[in-house]
Amino acid sequence: MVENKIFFIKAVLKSILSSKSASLVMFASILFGAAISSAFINLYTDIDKKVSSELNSYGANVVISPVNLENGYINENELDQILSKVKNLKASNKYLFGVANLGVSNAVVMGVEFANLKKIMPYLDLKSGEFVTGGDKFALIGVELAKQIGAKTGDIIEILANNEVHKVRIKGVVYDGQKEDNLLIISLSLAGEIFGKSGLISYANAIINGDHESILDELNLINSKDIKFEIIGKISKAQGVILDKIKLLMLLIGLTILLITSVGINTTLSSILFSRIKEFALIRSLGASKQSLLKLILSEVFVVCVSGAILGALFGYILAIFLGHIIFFSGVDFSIYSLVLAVIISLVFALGASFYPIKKSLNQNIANLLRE
Amino acid sequence: MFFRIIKSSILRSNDSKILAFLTIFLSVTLIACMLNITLNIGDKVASELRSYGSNIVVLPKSRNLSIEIGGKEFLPLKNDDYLLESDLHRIKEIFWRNNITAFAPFLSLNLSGYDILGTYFDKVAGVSDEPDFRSGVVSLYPFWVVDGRYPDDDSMDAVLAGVELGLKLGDVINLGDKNVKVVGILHSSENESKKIITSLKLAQALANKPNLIDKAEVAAMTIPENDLSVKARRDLESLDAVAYDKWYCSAYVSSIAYQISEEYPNAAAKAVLSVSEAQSGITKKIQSLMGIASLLSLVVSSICITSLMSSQMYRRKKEIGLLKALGAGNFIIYMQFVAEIFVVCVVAALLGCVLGYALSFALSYQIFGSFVGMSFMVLPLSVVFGFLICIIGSILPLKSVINSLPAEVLYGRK
Repeated sequence: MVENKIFFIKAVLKSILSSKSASLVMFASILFGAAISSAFINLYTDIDKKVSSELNSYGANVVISPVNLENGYINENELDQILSKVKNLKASNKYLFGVANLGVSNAVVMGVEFANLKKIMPYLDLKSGEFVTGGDKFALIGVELAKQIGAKTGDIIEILANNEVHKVRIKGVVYDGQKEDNLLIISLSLAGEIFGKSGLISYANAIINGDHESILDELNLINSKDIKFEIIGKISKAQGVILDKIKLLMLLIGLTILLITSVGINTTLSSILFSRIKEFALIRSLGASKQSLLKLILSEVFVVCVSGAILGALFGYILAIFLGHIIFFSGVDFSIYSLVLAVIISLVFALGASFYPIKKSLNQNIANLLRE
Repeated sequence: MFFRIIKSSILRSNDSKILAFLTIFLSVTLIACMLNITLNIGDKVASELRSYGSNIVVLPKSRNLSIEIGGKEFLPLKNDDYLLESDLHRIKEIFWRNNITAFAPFLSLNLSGYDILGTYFDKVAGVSDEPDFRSGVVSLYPFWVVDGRYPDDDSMDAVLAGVELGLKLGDVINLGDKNVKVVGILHSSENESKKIITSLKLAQALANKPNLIDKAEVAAMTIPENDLSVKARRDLESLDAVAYDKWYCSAYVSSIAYQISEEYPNAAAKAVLSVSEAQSGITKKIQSLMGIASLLSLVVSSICITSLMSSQMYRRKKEIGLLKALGAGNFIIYMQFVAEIFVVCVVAALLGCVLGYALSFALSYQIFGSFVGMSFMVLPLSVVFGFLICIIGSILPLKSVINSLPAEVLYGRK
């Protein structure tokens, strides 16, 4: 028995090492299959986070307003304190509105934090000029208001409020098809000064990362008697729907590619095994039983496949990072779970692929094979 | 002779031919399926993203959007310019009529201390050629959730109440000289949470503005934005004639809005960027996902075919040696093998393409609950892809074998 075992191991190793090219092809195809499946499983396990952060980058999903709307303002410091405790806060902006005379006519003026404007309103588009990065001396003007008062980029606008005149230079004309088209946008600090409301804001909005439920949980932790936090229902609901669709798509894509890969592994393994049918026949004619031949072939396939699969799964993780960067512009978290799963999947495929050729080579008429 | 060689080689059909056929068939099936979904997914995603709200707003030319902060109107810009309700049907009579999925008119007024908003709920819109096209907030705002029921269109005594008004089902409130009954409570809509929503007819009667509306909102299926549409959005004048025609004849949100402005008297239609940008961004993401997947399938199947062909070449070394010994040039041998695989490939690709179409229908039905369109581009593309797979897959292994000497091969030793 001991002799047998040693011979068996020898036979397996010999056949792997002697048929280098065939083993290599088998190894490569398994490696490839494992890599693909591992890449997709890795991506898939991470996709929730990825897609929701992607969807959250299209605009605010939380509105923050004073509880008492009539003549109500939010205290900026109080809000800052609350926001600093919110874990998944991605961006926020504060707004102060007021009506001022711009010389030609009255207009609504909106004070904002210019630094956060593009984060919270990524869709705001420029008709001309450029965005303001900061400073009290610059303003953006909505396209409709610009038409109304005949203003363009580079003009100096005089804002008259409380019998004081403040001058701002228009840096850009903006457009988004919503209320911003009719506003003069200036810095929050200047707006506070003009309207005598320093430290106060009309309302604020924020992007909090996560799905509908997790954002609601986050908001439930906040208690403030003056400030109301509301989730924008339509956006977070739409996100849930889209997330499900994208996940389903990813799953289907992953499965599809796995299927192709498995056909590939199958064809490769089959052709390798078929080309060795004579060898198997010889082993049989030397007196090996079907069972021991099966054991021999399977061990061989198994050794090559396990090494290929483990290496492939690691490669797959690198591929996943690469794909993650292409699709979502960010890496992918490593999960050992997906590694194990990928190895198991590719082994199942490999063994499934060897089934038919092995069966065929075992059930052949030995004499015929040897005579060919 | 050439044809005979190929015929016999294929008809002798060993396992490897079947495997090659299977590989190409499956890969092409998948590529065709992905391509068909990728090319048609824009519409699907757009309809999914409808819950983000309408992406086009139609206003009277000389009027601006009122500025509402937290449901309260800020400095109502006073001007008395309205659109005619009787022109509404024109929105769905533009060139891109089939892309307009829903629209609704709005008329707002303030009466008896309530902010009132009149609109269509689900009303036959009177579109020519489409007598049964219904539209209104039910399809325009799928995110609206109503406890109770929607009032009937043209109803003069039933209304919806925003949830923050604190009214209950069955409450009767007094609007001007009319008593109306609350038949539904509206949830999950930030802008309307403090408003009374009535039929347009009731709002017009209360405001004494028959046939007039403030604005209309439109949901349109659009294709993702690109450089051309962004350029057009910023400055339409800067496009030359060719670019302008291309922009005008593509379903960009900006060109659909432009065409509505052309058709609707006294109206200016604008794209609502916060919605259309999100739609466009997500659609692009999904398309890139599918694109990468198609590319991966291509690579994987090429590798499969390559390995398959290598083992086949290895087995047919003798045949190649014999052909060379008989005086065949390298090119002829290449041609023979390529032609062989080509025949297999064309058949497999055509069949794969048909199955790919079927699969894409099934998938899209599974995912989006409706059938995806047919893109005829897919057929030639997938056959080309199939062919690419073959060429890549067979040239490489041939190269290694073809330069071996006939004597070596035939004798079977190096």
